[in-house]
Amino acid sequence: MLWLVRAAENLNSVNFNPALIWGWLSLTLFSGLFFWLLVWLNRKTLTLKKFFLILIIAWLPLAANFFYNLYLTIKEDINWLKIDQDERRQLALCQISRASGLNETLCGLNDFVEAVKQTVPAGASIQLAAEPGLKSYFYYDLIPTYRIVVADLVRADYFLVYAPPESYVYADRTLYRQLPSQDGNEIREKIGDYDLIKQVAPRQFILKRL
Amino acid sequence: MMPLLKIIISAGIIFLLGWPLVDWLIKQRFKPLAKMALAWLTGSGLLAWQLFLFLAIGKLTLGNWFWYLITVEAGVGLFWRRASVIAWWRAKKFNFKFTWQEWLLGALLTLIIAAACLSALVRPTITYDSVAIWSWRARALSVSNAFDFNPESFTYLGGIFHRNYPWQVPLLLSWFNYNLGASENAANIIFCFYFAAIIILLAAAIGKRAGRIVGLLAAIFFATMPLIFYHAATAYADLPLAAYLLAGIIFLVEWWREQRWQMLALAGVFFGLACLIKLEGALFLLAALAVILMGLIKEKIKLNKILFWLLPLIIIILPWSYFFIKYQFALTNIEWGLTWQPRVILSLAAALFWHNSWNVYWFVLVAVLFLSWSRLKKNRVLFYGWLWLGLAISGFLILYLFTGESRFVLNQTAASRNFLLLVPASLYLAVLSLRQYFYEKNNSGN
Repeated sequence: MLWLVRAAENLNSVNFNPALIWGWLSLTLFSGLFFWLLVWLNRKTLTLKKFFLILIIAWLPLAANFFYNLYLTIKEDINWLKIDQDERRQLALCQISRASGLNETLCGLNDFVEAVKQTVPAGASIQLAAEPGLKSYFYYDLIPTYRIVVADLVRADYFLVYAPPESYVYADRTLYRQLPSQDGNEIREKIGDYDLIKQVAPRQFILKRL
Repeated sequence: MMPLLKIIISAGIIFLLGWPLVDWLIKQRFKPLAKMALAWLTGSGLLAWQLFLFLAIGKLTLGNWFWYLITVEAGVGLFWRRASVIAWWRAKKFNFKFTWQEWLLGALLTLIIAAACLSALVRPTITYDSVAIWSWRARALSVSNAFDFNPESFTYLGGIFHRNYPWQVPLLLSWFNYNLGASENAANIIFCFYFAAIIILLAAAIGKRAGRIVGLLAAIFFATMPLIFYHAATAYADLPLAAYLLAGIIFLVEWWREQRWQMLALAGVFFGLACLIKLEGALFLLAALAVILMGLIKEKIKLNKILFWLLPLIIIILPWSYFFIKYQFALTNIEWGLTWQPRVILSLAAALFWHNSWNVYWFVLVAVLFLSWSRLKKNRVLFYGWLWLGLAISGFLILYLFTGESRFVLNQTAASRNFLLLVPASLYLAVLSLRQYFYEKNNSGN
């Protein structure tokens, strides 16, 4: 049946559930108008019981979709019970990343955090260059173990680079940020002297301050 | 200890904290299950309120001493209400005389709540505001089990975003984290408890006035709204706030009906606790204040009655207000400035009538208003309820239509979540109005 479909969970799922479209009409609008029509047609003989009967008729198509999704959610949750918490987080991040059109940025977060935990000692101060929207995810994962510094770039013991919106260049044990200049060329801003501890993936680095 | 046992104990003490107060004020006016739902709302508020008082104002560190304190409080509370406990223990009679329709609806509701609990326990915290605000703050607090008062620190007063947001939800999460270990996601079960509390309160409060089957139908109608269900297992503060607003409006309506001070005091408790969830709570509080004042004047009731509402409310919001003023937080995160974007109306209509977030709820609400409009003015109980709702919705509409907040409607982000806050309370008012409409229609013969 057309309306028994699952909306993939994405970053917007918490804000709204997309419409189920029939042709050019949303099923919500169709069911709602149908509900109004039935109420209007029965207006002279309407009782509380009849009102609720009409409501159930209008509610059922979308409720069927809800229960279908509930069944799939329960099935998936039971499967997730069998795997450990880290793996679950990885799966969830990748699912939501794909459905939100973020490609691998959110999906690769767990691997990067794991690499940080393996290479950076607990209690060290860290500084992060990443998409603003992604930073919260890193902070959430790293706060129990590390001291996060945002105020002054050179103060942190470690500098983490995770696919940031701006370009970073690492050459001769020095880290630079490339900034566009007024004449159209790029200028390099020195961040500091660092040791490259690990490259997790392209544009994903863990650096230690010298 | 097994995580499940830890969850039961961490949640159990919350119910025990809230139950004596609820039992004292409500007595037998609501069924035991509804009293449990109210005990969760009251107890979770009371626990977080004390945590805030000791950690944020008293600058103490969360430790086992807090367990001793609340265990003593719960013990004293139970001793105080021992007559009710003994009466309940002796009665031990459970009424299982339900029709098959009631069994079916009850079973479906149980299934939905159980599924939400499973999701809350299994699914990691990955939605944006959770990791940036609600769960983040709980995690930041768990670093040292204390508030961070160092302005140089990243976790200063809760850290990154919206330092001006109240603390009840993060503190509750912290409480579970403290007992379960900060790496667990099990703390998210609290959102499922709020979801269950709303369902039970809807079924009980509507069932009390319109019959059990109608109450259960309203509850299942609510529980199957996709956006609501999603919020039951997602660490956002909107559903907890919706629960307090529902409880607040139920007791405001009960007060208009019975004029018992206990009902007004409970309304004050719940509207006060709503302010400790999100800043929006203040908008609903002001709407309630306006409605109560107007009602007292219009009905020629002594104005000092409002003290029953104001006193508990002031006690509840006092520590947070002090903190708020001390650290000079902004009153809102709103971008003020006059704008007018007609596109907002279309986006808002899409959020309510096009998307699959609410099933056909907003169509039903419009139909109920249309049917019962002429009779609402004659029924003061429902009139004041709707007036509160109207003021609350108007507040949002003013923000969305005339300020920079319109972007949250245009990009379909916070708008639906703001309307989510009002769904349980409006559903309650809608079913009562409907019942009143048909009752009067039958009696007048037209």
